[in-house]
Amino acid sequence: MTDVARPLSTVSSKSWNLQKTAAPPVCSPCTRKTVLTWIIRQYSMNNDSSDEQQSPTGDSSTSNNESNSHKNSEQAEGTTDQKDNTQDEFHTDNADDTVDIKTKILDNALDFVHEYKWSRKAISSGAEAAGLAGVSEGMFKGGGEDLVLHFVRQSNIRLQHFMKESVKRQDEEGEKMKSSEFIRKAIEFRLRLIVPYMDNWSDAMGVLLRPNVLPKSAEELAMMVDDIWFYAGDKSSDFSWYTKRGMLAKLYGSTQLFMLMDQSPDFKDTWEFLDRRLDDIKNIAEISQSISTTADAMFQAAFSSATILKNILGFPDRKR
Amino acid sequence: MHAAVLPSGCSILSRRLLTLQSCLKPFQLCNLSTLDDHQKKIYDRIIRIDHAGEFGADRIYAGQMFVLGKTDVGPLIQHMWDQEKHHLQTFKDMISKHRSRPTVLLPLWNIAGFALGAGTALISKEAAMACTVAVEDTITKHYNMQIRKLLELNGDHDELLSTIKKFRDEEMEHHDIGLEQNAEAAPAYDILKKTIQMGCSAAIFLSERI
Repeated sequence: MTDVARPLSTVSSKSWNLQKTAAPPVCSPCTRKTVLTWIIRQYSMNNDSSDEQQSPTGDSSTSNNESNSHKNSEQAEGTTDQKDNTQDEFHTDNADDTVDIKTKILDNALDFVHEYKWSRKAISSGAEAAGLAGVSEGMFKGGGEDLVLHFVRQSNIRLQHFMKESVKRQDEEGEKMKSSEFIRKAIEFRLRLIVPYMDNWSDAMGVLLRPNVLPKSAEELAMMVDDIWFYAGDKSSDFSWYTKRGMLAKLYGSTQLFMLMDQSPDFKDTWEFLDRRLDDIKNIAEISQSISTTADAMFQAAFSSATILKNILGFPDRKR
Repeated sequence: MHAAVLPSGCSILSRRLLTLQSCLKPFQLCNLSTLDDHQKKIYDRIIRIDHAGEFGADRIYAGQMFVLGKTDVGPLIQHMWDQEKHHLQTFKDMISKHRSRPTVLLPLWNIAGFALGAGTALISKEAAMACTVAVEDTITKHYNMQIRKLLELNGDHDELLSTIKKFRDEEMEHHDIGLEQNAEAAPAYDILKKTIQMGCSAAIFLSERI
């Protein structure tokens, strides 16, 4: 892992130079980058001095810790998938600091989604709640899009945690859950993460379908689906690898849509809908199984008729 | 060092240039603890193409056995087929272990492989052996290229290397068996061999990527 890390010296020397100039730079478009660097530096200094101080935002702060600890453990293991993503996404030159701050801001911003929806306003309020200047929402080129994507990403990480733990529990108890049961649990868990934002979720879904966001959101969906199958113990290496993931993505999408309109207590109808769709998938699996055996039989029939034809035409048969 | 610094810069570039690959990127995950991004990408490619190759080889031998199964070369082909089955199983395990993605073109290789095996076997026993020689020759060369690539890579890749080396030797053995069985007596041997090898190279090119 050490050789991936880029030299930090350049970054820190920059901020040292800045510290010499001391005064906060003037806020104009051309100095925006400098302002941001300054804000980040201020923030990290604050952070160093008040490490034990808990932020008062309850739920979101725990979630932040969770995602951070997840990231650390991921780094320790060396699976840098999530980390790489965040870095690619925000186009930062290294600076784990920057990523951390961005995560912090967006985590806080989620508290303001009810008020301001998935907007820049929510992000700037989140930045203020995180103890930063509201203008730091300028760090997020996509605005609300970044916020929605952040939420999706964070939820997927939580889902990963959940699945890891349930696999661990299964190993300890020695009882293997059926994969369909596991998938149902995973999807229910993932959908329940949306519930707090249900009133604005249709907007978020719209954002995720925007042409410029779609590649990223599709990537997130694909990764989530891949994770679920991985933890469900899927070992397929044929074409069903694709069909399985595709079906699960469709299942998740349609259940999510159903959930938008669901008025029943505790989304009871949604879970019933999910069960029905899972039954459908089981049926499809059975049908495709029978189709493939039929196809095999037809293939063999074609070849044996070719052999018969060969015999009739009198070509020498090697079998004799 | 430069090899490690490269990928992060490259990934942004390749993302912009190769939209297809960036769409498939999520599937190129791998769960190995000691590999960095660049190495994961190479592993992913190697495992995908080797799996596709062994799958195709398995289908070719299935096609040959279908036609020549009860002739005197039957046991010989069966022996080679059994080895290929073992290879295929090994790479199947690797796909789930490394969370690599199988190629999209598997259904195509399924049919094409069987048709190639059965088709050449229908021409003559020698043509079937010429097909074996051509395919195994290409595969051996390709395995050698992969071994070179892995040796260039820093880090410990003994597991994959030893697997590929062992399989390479077995493929070479198949190639020699083919020559012993008079492959060169096949009708239009050169043309047949060149055509099959061109097809194999195209298949390798595609399977590595999609």
